[in-house]
Amino acid sequence: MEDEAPEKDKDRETAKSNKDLGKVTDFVAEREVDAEKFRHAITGILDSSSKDNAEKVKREKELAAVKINSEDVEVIMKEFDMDRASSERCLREQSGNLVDALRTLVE
Amino acid sequence: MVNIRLANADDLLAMQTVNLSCLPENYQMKYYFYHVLSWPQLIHVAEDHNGQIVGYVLAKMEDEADAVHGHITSLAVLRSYRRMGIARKLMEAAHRAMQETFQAKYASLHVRKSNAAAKHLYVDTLGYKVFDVEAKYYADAEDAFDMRCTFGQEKTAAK
Amino acid sequence: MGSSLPSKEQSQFRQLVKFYETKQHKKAQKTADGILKKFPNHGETLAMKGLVLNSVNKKEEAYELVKLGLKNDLKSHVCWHVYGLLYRSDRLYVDASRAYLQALRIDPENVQILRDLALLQIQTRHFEGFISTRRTLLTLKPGQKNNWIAFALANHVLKNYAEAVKIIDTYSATIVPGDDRESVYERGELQLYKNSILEENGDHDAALKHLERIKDIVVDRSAFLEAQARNLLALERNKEAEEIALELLERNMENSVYHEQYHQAVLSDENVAEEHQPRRKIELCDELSKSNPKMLLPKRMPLDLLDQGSKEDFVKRLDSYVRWFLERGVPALSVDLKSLYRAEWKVLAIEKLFTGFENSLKESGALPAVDNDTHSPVKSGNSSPAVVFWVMLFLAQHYDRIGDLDGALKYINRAIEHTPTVIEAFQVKAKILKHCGNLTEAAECADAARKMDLADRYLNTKCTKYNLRCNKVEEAEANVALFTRDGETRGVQALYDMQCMWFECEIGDAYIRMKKPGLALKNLKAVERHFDDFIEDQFDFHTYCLRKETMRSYVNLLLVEDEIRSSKYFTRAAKAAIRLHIDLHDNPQQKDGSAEQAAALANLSVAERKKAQSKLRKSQAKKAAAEELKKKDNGKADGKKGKGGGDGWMETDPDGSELLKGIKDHMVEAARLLRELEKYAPRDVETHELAFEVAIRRNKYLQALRAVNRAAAVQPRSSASVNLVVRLRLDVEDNEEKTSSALPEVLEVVSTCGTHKIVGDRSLSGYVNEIMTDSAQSSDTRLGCGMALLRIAGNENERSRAMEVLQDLSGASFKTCRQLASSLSSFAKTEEVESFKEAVKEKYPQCTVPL
Repeated sequence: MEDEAPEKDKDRETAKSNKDLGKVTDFVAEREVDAEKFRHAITGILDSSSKDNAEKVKREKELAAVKINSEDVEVIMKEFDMDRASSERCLREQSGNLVDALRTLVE
Repeated sequence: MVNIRLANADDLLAMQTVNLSCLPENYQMKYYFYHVLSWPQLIHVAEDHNGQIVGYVLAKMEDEADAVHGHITSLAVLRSYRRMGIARKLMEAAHRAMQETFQAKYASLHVRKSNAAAKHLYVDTLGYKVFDVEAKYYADAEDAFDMRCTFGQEKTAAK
Repeated sequence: MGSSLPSKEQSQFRQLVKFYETKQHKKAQKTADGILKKFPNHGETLAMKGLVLNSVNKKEEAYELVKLGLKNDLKSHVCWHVYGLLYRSDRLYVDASRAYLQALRIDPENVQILRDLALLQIQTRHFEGFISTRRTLLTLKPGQKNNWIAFALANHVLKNYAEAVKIIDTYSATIVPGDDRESVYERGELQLYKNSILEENGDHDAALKHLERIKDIVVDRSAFLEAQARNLLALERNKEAEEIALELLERNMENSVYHEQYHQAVLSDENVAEEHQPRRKIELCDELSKSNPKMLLPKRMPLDLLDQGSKEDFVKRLDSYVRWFLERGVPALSVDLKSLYRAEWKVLAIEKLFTGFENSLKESGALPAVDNDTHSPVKSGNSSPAVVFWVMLFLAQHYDRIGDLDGALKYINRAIEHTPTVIEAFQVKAKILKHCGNLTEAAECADAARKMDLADRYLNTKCTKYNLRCNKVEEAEANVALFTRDGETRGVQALYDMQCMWFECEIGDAYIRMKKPGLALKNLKAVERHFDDFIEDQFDFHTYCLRKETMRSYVNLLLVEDEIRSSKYFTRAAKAAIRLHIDLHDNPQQKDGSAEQAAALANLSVAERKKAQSKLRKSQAKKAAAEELKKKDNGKADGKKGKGGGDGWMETDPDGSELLKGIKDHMVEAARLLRELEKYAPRDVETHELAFEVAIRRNKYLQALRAVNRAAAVQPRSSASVNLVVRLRLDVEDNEEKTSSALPEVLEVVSTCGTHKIVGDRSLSGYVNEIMTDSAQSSDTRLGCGMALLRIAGNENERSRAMEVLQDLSGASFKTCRQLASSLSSFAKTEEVESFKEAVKEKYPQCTVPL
């Protein structure tokens, strides 16, 4: 930090620790290695698609299809100080049944 | 029953409290993070049977100057746990890691001129020697001894 | 970047960016101004200048310039990027993220923006976004080392262990390894990181094989051996584990985990039956102790392992163990033996041993001779005069620990009389007095100790704490300031700068007792702010650790940061603040300064009161205006801290009155803090007690029910859960007023999931009595049940029965009594509270604080 006014009133320990912490955010040029070699190496790394994804998508679709009542959502939001998204999700997971949803939330 | 072990990030808050309780030279949490993320092998703690931290050593490596060397940033043991040899054991653990992992040639530290107990530990027990005097090093303008412990020449505590 | 500028200004713009990146802010500003002279409306330059100003704390100007720049050039990804950086610096993560995404829509392959987005994503733990961004970065710049390691990390945190390992392997196979010390270190670290992933995935066999392969390139020997030990034990390859554990013990014999691993390996290998295991462990400790007589753990561990059948052995070993401490004069002996106090028979043995020492010293001036065996490192029978002092000191601590406060005081006074120069004695005496409830004398004692060595901050810390416990706030502040750095900054601001949370919590509690809510809140909020800072601190390390490749430590940090608010300071401050808010909600007039002010006003005539109130309002308005001005000034100033009247948290609004005024609804604020506690301290029953209190006041009956259920799950038959069940039944379920106004769905849940589940068919008092008479219960539970019975009591008979239970304070600490008194005063009759307090005073005649 070359053009910052020197902090004369700090003792040496503090000055040292400030200097050290400054090093953490020093701009260090990224180390470039042989790009070509690595470009070859990438293939095989990048197609990691997890099977979980397909399952997750299916689950999300199921939940989205559940019919829910917006008044019920408001009850959950009010009783538990929850945001709309979480409240909706909770209701959907209980097939739209408010009492069931509330029951899971009091555990 | 006191356990001496390597520190991890979980211990840092407790270490900071021990530091604030025992020493006037204090640091913000970010500095503790900095140590444990840069030289994780060097930081050690002493804990009681309940997992409470009762002592620590915070150390780092320094690349400037002549040779690669370690530096003891801070060392403290709660007063209620003193005279049990905890400080010595913490320092020995730090020294060993400095040599093994970082090939340090020596370790350095600062100590108040008036701190007899600390000097006794460093000089008589661990083999540190005064290298230099830094005038008005501390915030209250007290002088510091800049001490060094050259590895391979220090007294090893008898087992 | 630097679009639509002629080539001269373009290169100036590039210079500007470089100056910013290398933190040369003055030069950056100058360069920006140079460009703006010719092109005053150039969006990107305006934005960059704003960014630079933000770095020197000129926040208002910064935002103005950046917004202006953006307005002038909406299609510039630079402007959006800079906008995002600005938001991020103010921790407005959602807005920052939106700005980055906007920038990426314009320039989807901008590596710099992608990197900043990735940082934000890992900071906010949006792992799905993080891995996607990291994948893009790796595709764009496969030649940059950090991108590989970051992508491995991204997979690791999403538990795609196999992919993470594959990425590291591919990277390691492709890179040409350097020979300099740093490269060697980094390589070793990366391999240890890979190994930790294998271990985490439970793949111990692969982990061990991997360790064999990397044996010669890893410089962190401790980590290497520890990983070997863990993996070998997991696979029950016991002989090999034994070897490694021994090697680890050679390196550090004071590490109890190494001992445990050693024991586990041997016990498993030899298939030792469970009842013989303690014996075998002791044998192993003895062997190590023989070859390492100066090490403490091998001698200390057997003391924990011995059972009542080996009483003689225990006494013999204890005797020789403590000699070194007594001869050397180590005050830590008492804390070292603390774990032994779990067993009643050990406590008696300890007492017998030390009182035996005392007698021996009295009669012959020496300790009794010790059998000449290898356990004792010290010559037997020869004791210096000081030993009797240490024996007395130990006995004082011993009696304190078992609750015999009279005995403790007797011994400590004798010790002090014998050798008045040892500071530890005064420390111990202060502690004993504290346990007696005599907080004023305790503080005096701690101060005496402090004065005996003014250079020892520990003594100062203890003294300050004791001062605060009896509300001597000015003294405490004066004391603690003796060790803070600056003369200019107020002591409390210096403590805030150094994140001294133990002090902030203690003084917060003191101010609550002194009914000064503004000051209390100021300090408790300070703790909360420190934790916000701790979370923010990690930001710079996301890049730093990738560079340094200290991945194991970095992953550990991420995990620790995830749970950092579960730390005791945060929870303590949050709980105290919640209680304060509850109190302020229940008793609103406290807010206007102090109870004294309200009382003073009450004594004036109507006209005088009006005058006084308007004067107060005017002075408050003036203060508010001055604060506004100060805030503006500080926005323009260079953000230098440490000047008197600076902008530190403790220096602005120092009595917390503005902070207090800013809270419109105490229950909302309490609920906010509770959400944190519920997230980070769900296993603490107090969290649920407080949740109940707040929920009841907000008429959120389901939340009250949830609190009761959770408390019962955490501590099923405890004072806390019993009282909550009773209160839920009495105050909600049986309360017609409350139930008649509730929604039918809510009622249904309350009736089916409520206290009936826990209490069953019994009567409420039947439920409480059953728990109370259970012989395994602690005195705290018994007293809590008494309190519950008082709540339930329907007639005088039942009330007096409940009071009988409450007045039997055997086994209750002073702290417990104080808490009970406070709880009782919230619902019991005045005379009942008074008679309870009388009972406490009888048990603790020395107590000096109001209950």
